[in-house]
Amino acid sequence: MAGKGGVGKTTLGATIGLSAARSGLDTILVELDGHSSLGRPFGHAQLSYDDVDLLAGQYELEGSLRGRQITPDDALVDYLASSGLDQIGSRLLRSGAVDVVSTAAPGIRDLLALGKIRQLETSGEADLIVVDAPAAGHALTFLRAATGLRSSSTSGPVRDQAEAVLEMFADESRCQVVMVTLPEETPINELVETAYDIEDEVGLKLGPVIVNGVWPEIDGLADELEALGRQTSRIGRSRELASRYRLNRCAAQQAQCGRLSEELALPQAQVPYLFRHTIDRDGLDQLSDALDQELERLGL
Amino acid sequence: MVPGLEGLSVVVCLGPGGVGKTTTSAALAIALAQAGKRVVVLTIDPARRLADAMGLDDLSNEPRQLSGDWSGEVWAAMLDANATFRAVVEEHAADSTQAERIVSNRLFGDLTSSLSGTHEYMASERLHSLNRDDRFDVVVLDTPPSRHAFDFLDSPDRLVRFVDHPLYRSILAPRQGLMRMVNVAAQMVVRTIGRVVGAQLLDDVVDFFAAFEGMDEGFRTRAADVSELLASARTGYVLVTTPRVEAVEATRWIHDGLNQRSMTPALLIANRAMPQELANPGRMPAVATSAIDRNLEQLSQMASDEKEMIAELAARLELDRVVTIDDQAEPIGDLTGLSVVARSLMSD
Repeated sequence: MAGKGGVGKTTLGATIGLSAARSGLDTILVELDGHSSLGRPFGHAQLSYDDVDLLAGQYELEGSLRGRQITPDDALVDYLASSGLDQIGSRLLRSGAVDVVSTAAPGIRDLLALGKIRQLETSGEADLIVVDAPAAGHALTFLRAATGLRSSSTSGPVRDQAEAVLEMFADESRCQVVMVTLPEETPINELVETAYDIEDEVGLKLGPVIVNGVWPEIDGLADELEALGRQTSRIGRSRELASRYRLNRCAAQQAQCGRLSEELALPQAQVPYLFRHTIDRDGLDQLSDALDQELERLGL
Repeated sequence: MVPGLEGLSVVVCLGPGGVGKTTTSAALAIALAQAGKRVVVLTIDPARRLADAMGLDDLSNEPRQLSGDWSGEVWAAMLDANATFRAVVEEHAADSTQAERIVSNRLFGDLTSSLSGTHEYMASERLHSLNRDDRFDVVVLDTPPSRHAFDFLDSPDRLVRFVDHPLYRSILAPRQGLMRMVNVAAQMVVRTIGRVVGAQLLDDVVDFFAAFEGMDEGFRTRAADVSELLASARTGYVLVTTPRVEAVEATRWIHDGLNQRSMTPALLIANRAMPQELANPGRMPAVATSAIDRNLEQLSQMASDEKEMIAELAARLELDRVVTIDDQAEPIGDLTGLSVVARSLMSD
């Protein structure tokens, strides 16, 4: 999942995970640092390196949904252990050596996380892994780590790790990027720019684009506003202001969605704004229903 | 004058993603210029938003002056990490041979273009030079979203720690021809790193840093200067947010991060709020039957929730300087639009 901050990338990641689990897939949601809130709609404020069942006692589904966190430090210890170097892992961390190396070659941290994701994918532990990537341009930096380190490292485990990650990236049956945006100018501009970079520079296949927070139109609003006439009372002025605001907002959003499909030839799924401040389990079900409908409409 | 920003030489705008931080930074620069300051706004977020907001095709590392209705000056620049790194190397290298040796190293391109981290060090170098530039009274910094802003704020200290780290010293020691006993434990760590990252990459890293011989003290000094500047009373922090739950939460997290670094925000800007008068729409019918009233009900509920959310946030952060900016129907794409926002930032 990639997208500018604040567009609902994390919520849509959880939505896709839920949709997948509902359709019978064993699914894992992965967050990359402690500040993501992937687990929150399921009542898990914080995920950890060991996965948890996000639907325990909540849903009866064919598939399953687990959540976990992958941090570079944990991934390093894990990686060294699997390479038979477990005794030096904690020493490396303690000595601050990891900090020094990642200062010199900062992509190392990203590559460690990517490598862990690849290992998870290869292990066959899940049918689908949904990764909440860093926001906006940082997603690109994150994804590029493998390319960068392949070119600067000619041999050794880092090189092997980078190769394996790039092999996964290149195979669209294994790995795709779903970009999320709001129907607004800036997020769409950045999405289009990032999309081309991801495809051209990282060589990842782009899945459908999800437009989040689309304000539903209210039938008859425009006609009623026209019939309203001049308003002088306070409530009358509020009615007029709110109607205009809604109509302008809806029109501007649809114009942006149109522009997006012109500028980026990818299937576009729209999910509605729910007019609520937090997305709980119930909200996630609504989003998941809406997304399923859209994907069906798109034949995906 | 913008409340809380009097007499500052650096204004750092922080906030979660998608709250309009860049546009707000540009509007702040204009507001400061309207108060007579010569301001440069530097965006270190790798996105084009600043140019878009100002109605410009492009921005580069070198500040570009904008003309408009203000008594001071407004300049704008976008951090180019590669160009900054080159400029720093060219300015501080002992001679052109050393500069050439650095920029031709394979890692140089990788470090500045594809790998994260370097961007923040270069942002710090750029801030250092703009702050000393006589053309400007104030530098307004538009930072990357949320925690990436701290990558920037922490980068000067990290660089200092890096240069001071015994491991860095011991990697370079033999190359520097020092005939002293190299710490055996450190050498073991170096060999271990070599096993993990590959001997070739390690050699490149060593070559790369060895090429900086004699320059690392300069990097260290400038990083320490920036660190001191960011902690001083000459720097002010502005929190930008929107009245949405995630944004408000992220803003509290940023505020905590600032506090941990002993930095206090001067001002909270709540951007993209619903028209505030909708919070008190007048007497509503008990049951909304028309489309108009169903819509008004929905929006006025949102507007009053938003108002409450911002008041709560301000109270929790113990900030009494709060400016709320109404959502603009159209995206801001020129200086006129920015001036409108700038006006709502000014105190009476």
